[in-house]
Amino acid sequence: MNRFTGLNKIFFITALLTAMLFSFADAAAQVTDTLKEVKIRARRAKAKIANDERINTYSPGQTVITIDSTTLEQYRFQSMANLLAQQVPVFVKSYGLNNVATLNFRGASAAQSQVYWNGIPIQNAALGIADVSLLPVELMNKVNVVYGSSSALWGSGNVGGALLVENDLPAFSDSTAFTQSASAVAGSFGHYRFGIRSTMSEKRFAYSINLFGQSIKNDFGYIDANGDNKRMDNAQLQSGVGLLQAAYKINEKNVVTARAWYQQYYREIPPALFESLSLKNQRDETIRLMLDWNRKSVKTSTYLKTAYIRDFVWYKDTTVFVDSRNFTNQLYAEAGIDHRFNEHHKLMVFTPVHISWIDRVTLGDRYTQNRYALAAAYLFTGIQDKLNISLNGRGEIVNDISILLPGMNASYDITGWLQLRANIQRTYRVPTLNELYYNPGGNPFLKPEKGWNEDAGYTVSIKQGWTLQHSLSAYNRVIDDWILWLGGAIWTPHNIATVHSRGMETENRFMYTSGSVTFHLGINAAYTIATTKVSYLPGDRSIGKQIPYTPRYNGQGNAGITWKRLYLNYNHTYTALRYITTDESFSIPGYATGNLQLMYNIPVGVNLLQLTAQCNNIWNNRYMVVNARPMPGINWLAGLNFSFSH
Amino acid sequence: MDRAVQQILRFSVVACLLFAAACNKDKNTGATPSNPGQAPPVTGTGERNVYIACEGSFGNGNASLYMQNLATLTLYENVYLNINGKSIGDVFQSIQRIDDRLFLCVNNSDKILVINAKTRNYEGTINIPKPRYILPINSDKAYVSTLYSNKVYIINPRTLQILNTIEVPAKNPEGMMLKGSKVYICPWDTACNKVYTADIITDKITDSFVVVGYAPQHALVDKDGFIWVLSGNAEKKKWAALSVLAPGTGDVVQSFKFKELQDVIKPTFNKAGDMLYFIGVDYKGITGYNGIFRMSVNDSKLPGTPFIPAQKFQYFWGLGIDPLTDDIYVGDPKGFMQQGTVAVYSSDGSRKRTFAVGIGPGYFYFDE
Repeated sequence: MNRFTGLNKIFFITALLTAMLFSFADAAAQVTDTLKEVKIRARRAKAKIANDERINTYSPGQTVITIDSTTLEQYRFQSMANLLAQQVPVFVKSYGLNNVATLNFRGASAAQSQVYWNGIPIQNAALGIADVSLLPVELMNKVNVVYGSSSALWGSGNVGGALLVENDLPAFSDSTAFTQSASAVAGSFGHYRFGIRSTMSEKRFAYSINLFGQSIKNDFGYIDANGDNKRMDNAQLQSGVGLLQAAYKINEKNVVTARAWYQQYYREIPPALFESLSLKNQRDETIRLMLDWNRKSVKTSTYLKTAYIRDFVWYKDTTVFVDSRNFTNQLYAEAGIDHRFNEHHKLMVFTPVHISWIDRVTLGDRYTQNRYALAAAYLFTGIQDKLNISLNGRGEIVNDISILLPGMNASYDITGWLQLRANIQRTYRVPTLNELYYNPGGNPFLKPEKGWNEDAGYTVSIKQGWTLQHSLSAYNRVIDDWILWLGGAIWTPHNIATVHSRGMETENRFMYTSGSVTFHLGINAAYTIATTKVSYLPGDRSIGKQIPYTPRYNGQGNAGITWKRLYLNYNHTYTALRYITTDESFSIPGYATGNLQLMYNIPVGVNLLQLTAQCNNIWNNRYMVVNARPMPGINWLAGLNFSFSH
Repeated sequence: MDRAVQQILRFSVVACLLFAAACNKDKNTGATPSNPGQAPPVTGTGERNVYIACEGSFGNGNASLYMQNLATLTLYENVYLNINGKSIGDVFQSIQRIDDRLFLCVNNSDKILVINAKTRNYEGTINIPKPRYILPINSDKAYVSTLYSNKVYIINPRTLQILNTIEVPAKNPEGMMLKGSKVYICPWDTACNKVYTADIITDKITDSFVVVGYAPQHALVDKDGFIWVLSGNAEKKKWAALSVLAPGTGDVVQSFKFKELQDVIKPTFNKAGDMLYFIGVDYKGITGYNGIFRMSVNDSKLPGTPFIPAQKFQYFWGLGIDPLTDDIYVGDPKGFMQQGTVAVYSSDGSRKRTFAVGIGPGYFYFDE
């Protein structure tokens, strides 16, 4: 497993050197080609990268990575976990192919990294985490990754960062337009997937239906703890997913949208390397219903959104007689108004109400968490629109705890190609229902985690026949009363420490078009130091040590071409070693994966046949993301999608 | 491009260089501690060692075996890994010597590893679901208690084969104690308030004795032959209790009930069999009943304050009494998220030494 470590470091250093080379590319480039339209991944202050004004308008100083539409197309048959692991320098803690995967932003824990669907938090109400392996890329039209805290805008729990996924509906049109598509996918380890999509739009009404089902055996080969070759057992996955959306345009100003998302995943949980067998399995069934009304006039937008989310998790392990069934429910409502006073001043006020409760079938009890908030965001724009300053604040009440969360972020365009940005936010996370009441081990005496987050950076965007995008961000965050689960037979969360996180991220993308060929090169990397600063634990050896499962550095590189209807990309990822104990006494090695991606569009009259193919881990590296859970070697996935419009 | 651009881009270069420089800090410790130490030499005649089972953090497969020579106090780290080149597995529960072999019960890896007691070389594996403790009967027979089932496995320590099982009328057979031709079996089952006895000739359950409280954990015999049974499972609201059974009849002649929420584990007697030690565990800092407690067999009530107190956010997980010196060995798991420590106290409670061990020191075996 270590044989590629040296190569990985070389890759990482090369990536950084390449990033530096980009920085030298200023005046030297004298390319005379006509500038062509390209997709820019990183944000500018006024770019409409999301459907949510909190991102578009009131976060000018935050670091946001936007996944472009080509990348979304390329990963459409995979999970969000795979996409993020290969394209964004966030650590995705994955327990295996299509197994549980959580996010680690800037050294934050999974519970400190939030996921929002059209502005609604969708992490499991009990666990406080979202399993991003259960987020299908195909359902999403916009994916943004927000780095750093923005608790004032997004609420308690937004400590490390957030993943924002959104759906678009077809635009209303004067003539009725239908688009239907069907897809079929096959891949390694018995992976089969079939899906259909249908959209329709007319003057006042639009709908979209997306359905798919998949089955994966996941019987990949691995080497067990004794050095024997084995094939993964008890690793099947089956799922069915459906998303229905409908919108009705009441008049030119008012639109009502309804969304219903249902999915069911059955996953067998394979044995870890230290287990002789596993009979564990988990069924995750989720229904998410959302209704929102939007009213837009020239200066004012008003909205009301409501959602109901129900998660059912049924975990079984017959070897130890565990049969745990938990229902979690969330009711979310938010009303907001966004008003532009003039070209310099904008104000948004909104009132999120979030009620969560868990019903534990096996224990016959219920616990509830109520959150009420009043939040406001003010944007000042000045100096010929070069300066954007956003002041944010939120007062939030969570059961009997109340908190004020202020924040401020700003950007300044020094020139047309250079933007500076900065962000400071108070961060806060109330304990989850599981942390408080898990049986056995929940700790009802936990205090909230709290602290401050500061970050700053710049973005260079140059278009001169070629396109260069380079950005660098640095951050600093100190969290007190960090919650850590401790225990052997009984695990119990405690507020034990102050954790200091700091580091940098860089994004770099270069595109050059010559004739009908466009070359692209991209490098993203993150450097993260997250160490225990103070601990209440007697004789704690973790002071100054990296917190578990936080790689000090990770990164991705992409290189490829677009030629006519062909898109070809090589992706390389590297993740450094992760400590699995708080005192750095045990670790698992870093790893690299190489991934090849191809997409080809074939017009069939007015219709389109799209072929996508991926070969993942092409160097067949043996690696683990989480200790004792081996990941698959080389594997492929190929899909066909036929779309016809009328 | 103007001068400002060049300056900014140079700044980028500097920033990236800093970034790259910062990336060289990691050291790969692999699956081994940073200072693995040396493998212990072959055990000599008359040598005494204490083995420490570090159970590891549940679900991570990082259990380890530590050993300290009791004459030289040399500590040997990761003994099994260093000698046999492999990890032990997940949740290393207990150790037992039978003749010239050491049997290592690795609970969540469903196996018993067998090593040579002198060289610590691997000699075999017995695959048993969730093994907890081994009770030697003779050179050809030993009993193995298991979690989650109602079975006590009968193994042959020579051939390493499973001979049979004993079906216990309750789940989770845990502690076992041999007295005469009977084995007392404690089922750590919250629905059970009995200790069962099995005949070592027929390997059948022959009798049962009602105790005070539910979920019996361990049975021990004191200097006068009385059987002390600790029961309780605080997380499931079965409050801890001690029952003292008469040597012949098994009648409860004395009992002690702990207060609600007080969690008590791992009782053990001193060399003379007149002083009972146990761990009070307070995971959440609620009860304050936290540390090493001890009581004389003649005491009429339970100890209210710890003999060796644990500090806030600390609890102990391992307890052993040196059968020769009566020294008290206490394992501090430090939350099972980092290397634990072992503190050694003399019988008067004064601390003699402390040393770092693997993750979750939970069991001591004195080999002599």
